[in-house]
Amino acid sequence: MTAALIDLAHAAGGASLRVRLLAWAALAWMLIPRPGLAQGYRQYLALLDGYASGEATEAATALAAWSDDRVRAAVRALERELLTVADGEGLVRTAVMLHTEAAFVEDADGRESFHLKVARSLVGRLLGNPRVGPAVRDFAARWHAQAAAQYCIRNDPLRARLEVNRGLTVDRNHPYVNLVAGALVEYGVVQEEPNPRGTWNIDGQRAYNLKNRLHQAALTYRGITANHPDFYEARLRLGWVLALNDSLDNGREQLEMVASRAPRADLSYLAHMFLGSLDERANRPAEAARAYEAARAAGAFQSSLIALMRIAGAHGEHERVRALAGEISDGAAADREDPWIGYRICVTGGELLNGLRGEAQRR
Amino acid sequence: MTRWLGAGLLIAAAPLAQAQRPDQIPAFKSAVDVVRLDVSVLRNGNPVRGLTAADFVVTDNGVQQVVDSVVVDQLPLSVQLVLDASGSVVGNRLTHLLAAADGLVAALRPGESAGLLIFSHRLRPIAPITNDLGSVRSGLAAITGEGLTALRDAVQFALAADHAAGARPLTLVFTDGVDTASWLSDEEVLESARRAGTVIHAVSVGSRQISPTRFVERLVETAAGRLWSARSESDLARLFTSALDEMRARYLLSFAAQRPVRPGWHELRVRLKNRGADITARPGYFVAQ
Repeated sequence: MTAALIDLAHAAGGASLRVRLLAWAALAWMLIPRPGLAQGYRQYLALLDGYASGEATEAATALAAWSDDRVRAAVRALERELLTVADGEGLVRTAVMLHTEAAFVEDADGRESFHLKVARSLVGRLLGNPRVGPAVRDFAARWHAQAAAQYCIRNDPLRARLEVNRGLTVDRNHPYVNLVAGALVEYGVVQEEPNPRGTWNIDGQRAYNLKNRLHQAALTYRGITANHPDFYEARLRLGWVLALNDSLDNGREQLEMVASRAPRADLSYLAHMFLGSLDERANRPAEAARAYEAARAAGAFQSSLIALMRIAGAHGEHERVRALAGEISDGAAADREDPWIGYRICVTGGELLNGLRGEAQRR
Repeated sequence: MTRWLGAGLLIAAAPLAQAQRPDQIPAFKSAVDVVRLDVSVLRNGNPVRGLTAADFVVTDNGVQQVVDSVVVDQLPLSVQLVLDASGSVVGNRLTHLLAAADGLVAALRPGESAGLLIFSHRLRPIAPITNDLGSVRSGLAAITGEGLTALRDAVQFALAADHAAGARPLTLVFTDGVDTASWLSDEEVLESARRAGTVIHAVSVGSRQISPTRFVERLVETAAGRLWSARSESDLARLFTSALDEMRARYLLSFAAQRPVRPGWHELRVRLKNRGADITARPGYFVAQ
C-alpha cells in the first residue's frame, strides 16, 4: 500500500524528496487499473497520497471540485477498505484533514458543511474504535477545535459553537477546544459591540451581559493556563479579555508574561499591541508608542503602523506620520497577515492546523 | 512669519491669497495666523446663497471674531475617496460604487485633485492625492471586494493625505457595514478627525446591523460633513454627486486668530446675523503646543 511505502521511507530516514518520489510512484501504482477497484476510488486514494506527501493545497482543491455523489462513493469504498488494511487509522486521519481543507478552499464556498460532515463522520469512526487511545482522542478534539475556528473565520459562529460542543464531549478539558470556545465568546462580543477598546456603544443590560460573557471567557482561559502554563495563546487571550473587562492590572500581568516569554512572533506582537492599548488607556502616550514600536519590531503589520500613525499625528509629528503612511502605502504591510485580524476571527497563528496537517501527513 | 497651527485648519496666509483672485480676497498681513472654516448653510435643505462676511457671526472660545473673507466655490477641491471594498461589497453593490466614484472624479474640474484609498481589513492606497485624475479613475477599474471592514483605521490613514496647499480638502467615505477589523477605537479616530481640519462626508448604503453609522454619524459631525444614506446601490451615484455639489455650495470663512494664540482646543461657533439657517461647521480647531 501507498501508506506502507511512505512509512517505509520514513523509517529508513529518507529525505522529504525521497518520500515524495515514493509517494508519487505509489500514486502511479494506484492509478493502474485493477479489477475490483473503481476508478473514482483510485483517484480518491491518489488525492489522499498527494495530501500525505505534502501537496495539501493541490489535493484539497482537486477534491473540492468533486461532486457530492462522487465523494460519497469514494468514502464508502474507503470505509470498506479500512476493514482490511493495517494502517487504517493513519489513512482516516489523512482523509479527515483532506476533507477539512477541501471544505474551506475558495472554490468550495457553500460546501463547507458537506465536506466537514464527511470529515466529522471519519473522526467519529476513529473514536468508535473500542481500543481508542489518548492520541486519537487528542486528534479528534483538536480537529473539532480547528473546524470551529474555520467556521468562525467564515463568520458562522453558530456552527462554530456546535463544533466546540462536539469537541468538549470528546475532552472537556482540552486546551485547544477551550481556547476556541473562549475565542468564540470574544468574537460574539465584538459583533455586538464594534468598539470594544473604546467607549461602548451599547449600555445597560446588554453591556452587562457582554461583560459577563467576557468574564466567562476569562474563566475559560484561566482554566487552560492553570493546567498548561506555557500555552501562551490562552494567556494572551486571558490578558486581553481581562483588560477589556476593566481588570487592567491583571490583564497587564498576563500580557507582560506573553510579551517576554512567548516563543512565537505573532503572540509577542499582539501582547505588545495590547500593552500599548493599556498604556493609551492610562494616558501614557510615550509608553504606548514604545509598546507599539516593540510590536512593530516583532512584525511591521498594519495595526502597529496605524497605531503609531495616530500617536504621531496627535503630537503634530507630520513627517513621522508621512513615513508611517509610506510604509503602509508600499503594500508590504497589507500583504502580510496581520495577527490582529487573525485574533479577531478566532485564529492566533497556524499551530493548530499545522499540527493536524503534520499528523495527517505522517502515515 | 506665518506658521501652521493644528493640522491644516489654520493655514498660512500666502497660499490662500495666491489661490484666489486679488480682487476678491482681502490682503492678509504677514505674521498672521489665519483660520479657515468650511461652512454649510442650508434652509429647508437647500443651500442659502449670496451671503457675505457681514452675515456671519463667528466666535472662537466665546470671543467674536472679525470674518475677513467669505468665498464660495472658488478654491479647488482636493478629494480623498475612502471606499469600503470588504466582502460585503461585491457584485452589484461594488459595480454601483465604482461607477459612483468614477462619476465623482469625472465631475472634478481642471486643477482639482483626488486620491483613492480602498479598504477591507487591509488598507490599499491606490492613488495619492493627484491632479492626474485619469490615474485615479483607472485605479477604480481594478477593485474587487473581499475581507473584513477596518473603517476606523482607513479614516485615520486618509486623514494623513497630502492635500495640495490652497485646496479645500474633502474626504468622502463610503461604507456599508460595521467595523469588524480596526485596531483604532471610535474615540481615537474622532480625536484625529477633530484635529485634522478636513471636511468628511460619508455615504452609507442600507445595512442590516445596528448602528453601523453611529461612528460615521459622530465622524461627520466632528468633521463638519454630512452623512448621506442610500436606500439602495442605485442611489450611490446621485449621493456622491450631491456630496460634491454640497461641498461646492459651502462658504469658506477666514478670520485672523487673535495673538497670542493659546495652545489647545478652540471651540468655534458660527451663526447668521438676523437669520435662521441650518449651519454645519467644524466644532473647533486644535493648536499644538
